[in-house]
Amino acid sequence: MKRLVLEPRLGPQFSRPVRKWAVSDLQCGEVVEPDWDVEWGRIVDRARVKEASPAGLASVRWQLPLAKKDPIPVQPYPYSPDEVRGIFEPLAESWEAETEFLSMTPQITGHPAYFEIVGLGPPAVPLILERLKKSTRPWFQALTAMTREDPAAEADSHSEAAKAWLEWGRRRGLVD
Amino acid sequence: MARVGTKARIGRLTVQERIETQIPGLRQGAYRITSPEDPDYNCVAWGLRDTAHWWSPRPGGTNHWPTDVPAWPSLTAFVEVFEQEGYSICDEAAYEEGVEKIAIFTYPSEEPAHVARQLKGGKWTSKLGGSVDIEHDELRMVACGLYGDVRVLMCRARAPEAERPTIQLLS
Repeated sequence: MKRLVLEPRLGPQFSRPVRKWAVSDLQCGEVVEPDWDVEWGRIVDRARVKEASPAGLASVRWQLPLAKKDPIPVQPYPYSPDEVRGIFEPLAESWEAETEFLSMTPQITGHPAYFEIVGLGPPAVPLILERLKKSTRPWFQALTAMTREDPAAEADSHSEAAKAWLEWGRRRGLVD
Repeated sequence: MARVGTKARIGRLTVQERIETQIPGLRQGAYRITSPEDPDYNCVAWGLRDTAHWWSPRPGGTNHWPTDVPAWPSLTAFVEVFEQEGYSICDEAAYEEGVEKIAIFTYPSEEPAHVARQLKGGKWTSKLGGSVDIEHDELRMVACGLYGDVRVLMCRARAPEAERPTIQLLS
């Protein structure tokens, strides 16, 4: 059985459906079979080795099923404002309660609920700002990820960062 | 969803009830809340007597961390931070006159989770995230799932005390 050691190497354009992988123990021109032993990653389709270096490394053009359509179609946002609030509030309560006494930022922002809230995208930003107005919690990385802006870049404390984000939200009519 | 609902109910408890729910070891001895909630500093800062910054090894944002210490949540990095402030590793948590001690708590993975500082007289003080400071009789009272266990003790010559006055319990 062939052995593959896969290492993801995204192509020059992130959105391209074809990704390049570093593959060892392969010869140029070989076809990657779905039943080969894979050390990292998974084989999802047949692919052919395009190049092989003297060191035995090769690159394979790899077709992922998720990316067969190019570009990935943009879906309309699936939730109404009320539905966003209905999803957001329990997640926010859970995150605030379970991280209230934590001190390490990676543990606080690594909480599963935090990721889920970021996944709600821009429609959840006004809801975060509402909460930030009531209590200064480290929502800042989520807000930056959701808006691609960072009005608190120069802030030296959580209070200053909260103030900067609330001013940002007021200028946009997102929070009172 | 059931789990979220259960945890969400914690938000309706008083701060003291929330503390004891998440750090049950505090029910095993005496402790008191010694500050109002303050989101601007954390336990690492409190260990260093800094009440203006949130010390955490994550680059950018409002996190404060020495530029010459790896911005990675490792025990080694935390020890280095405290060494820069004059601490060195020691063995005993017992109170010694003229010596200030801190304890670094870690999870089993050795990822740091908490820092407590010994007060003059032998009690300990902990800042609980962005919430309140507490004073607790024993170091082990805050050792539990939330903060892991004491992994490293560090000592330095004690600076003059400037502790905060006691306040009423917050609810």
